[in-house]
Amino acid sequence: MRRHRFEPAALVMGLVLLGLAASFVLDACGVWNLGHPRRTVPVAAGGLLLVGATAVVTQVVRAVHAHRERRRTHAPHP
Amino acid sequence: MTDESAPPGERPTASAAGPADAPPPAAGAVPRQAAADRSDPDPGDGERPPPRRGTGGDKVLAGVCHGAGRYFDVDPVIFRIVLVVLALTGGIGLIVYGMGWLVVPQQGERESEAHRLLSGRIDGPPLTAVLITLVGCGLYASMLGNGPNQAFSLLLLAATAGAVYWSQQRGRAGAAGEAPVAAGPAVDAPPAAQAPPEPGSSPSWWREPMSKEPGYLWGPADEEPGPGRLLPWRTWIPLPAQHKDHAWVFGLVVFLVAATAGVAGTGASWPFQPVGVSLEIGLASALGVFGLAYLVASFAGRPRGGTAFWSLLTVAGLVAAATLPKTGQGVGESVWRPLTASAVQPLYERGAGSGELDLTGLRLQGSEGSTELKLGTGRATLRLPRNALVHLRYDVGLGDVRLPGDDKDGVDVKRVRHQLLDYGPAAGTPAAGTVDVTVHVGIGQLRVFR
Repeated sequence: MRRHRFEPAALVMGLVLLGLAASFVLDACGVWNLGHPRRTVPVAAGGLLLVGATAVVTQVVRAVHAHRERRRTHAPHP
Repeated sequence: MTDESAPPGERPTASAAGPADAPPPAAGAVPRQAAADRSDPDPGDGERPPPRRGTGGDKVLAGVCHGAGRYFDVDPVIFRIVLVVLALTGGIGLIVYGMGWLVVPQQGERESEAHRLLSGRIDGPPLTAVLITLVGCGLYASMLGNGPNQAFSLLLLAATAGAVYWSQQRGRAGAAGEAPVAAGPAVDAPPAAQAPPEPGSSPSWWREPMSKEPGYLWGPADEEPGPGRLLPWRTWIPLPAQHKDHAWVFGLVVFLVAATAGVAGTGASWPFQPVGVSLEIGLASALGVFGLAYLVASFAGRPRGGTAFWSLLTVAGLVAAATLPKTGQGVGESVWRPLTASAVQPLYERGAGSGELDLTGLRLQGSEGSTELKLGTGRATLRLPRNALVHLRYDVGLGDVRLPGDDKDGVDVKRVRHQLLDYGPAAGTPAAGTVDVTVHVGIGQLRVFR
């Protein structure tokens, strides 16, 4: 039985955090050079914006879906 | 009150309820009143009630001083003045106040703010308390070099503790003398201002439904949405009650695992890597744990707001750690003293600590040498040879440079990029060779002697 609904924003958040962790590990190993905040802040902020966008899209889709569902059940069928 | 003369602000006995600090309206016995205030039904004859922060109009900010005053039976104004003085003279007051705010639960509450913070329910007061503590720590760190200031703070703290202890001893002696008079009516007094909870109805704090305090900044929804309510941002599938009780455990476990991963990553790489890299590895491990937790939570349940908070904090820490210099290896102090041109290594480096390159004993027979000294964080010292021409090239990310001939005493912190200097041999000494020295210091001080 499925007790929880799937949360795309959490999935994206997990992927973004893992990607950030990997890129910072690469930076620590010297493979990449992320040193300055000029490079790290846009990467982190971009990832978080992606998460936010996913959450917004999810909620909009759910709201629209629920709205349609309600209208279909409440509207009298001709 | 008997002929005993108590100093103002002190109420040694129950019958001597002075007007010094907002006495409870009707009750005469203040310690009894405090015992009646707590929700624990046990009257606690011998033991004192646990400390509680004040509420209502008695408190000024968070009620820490009021609570301490009630707990120690001392005028809270004393604590207020001492804490303000301690806050202004070195930050200890802010640390004490913030910790008290976090650790001591408010009157009528079961959980302290730290409890709530760690169980994922984050709202304004604990964040403010954490902020106050952090500011206090920063002030304290900035006063670390100031010995007299710290001595004053510690002496004032010790004096306050001594005064409170003395006042309590005095109060106890006074209460023992008048015990038959004071204890009689106090025991008869009704102990409960509010009805005590029934024994079975209030389980421990971790089982209590989190519906008392509305309006967290982050945290669980306060109640499940009813069938008619439309909550688009907090749509919540009602879970089985048993499962819901354990939902916050996931957040706590994730936090603990992430903290362990961070400490393990930093600790494992600490001896081999510079400080910046080591911190970055540890924080990235913690962030990886958070990422995995979110992957799991996206399928198996809603992630808690606390996890998002700690994740963002970790990302911020990573951004900060990435700016630290990644120079050199290891931590400690080193002195390198090459004596011949062939013994000069092309690179000397140290991650944090101090590194000294001593070239005074260097014997050059007409040859040229070139070397580089890298220091991540700390103090780099360069001693120039007397009989050689030196081309010195240096840059300091943030710090102080002291060159031969400077007679300044203070430390002038600035950023220095690519300076080029030439030092000839000492007067009357023929140049026996040429040395190119490049020095990079991330954060710290560069001193050049000759």
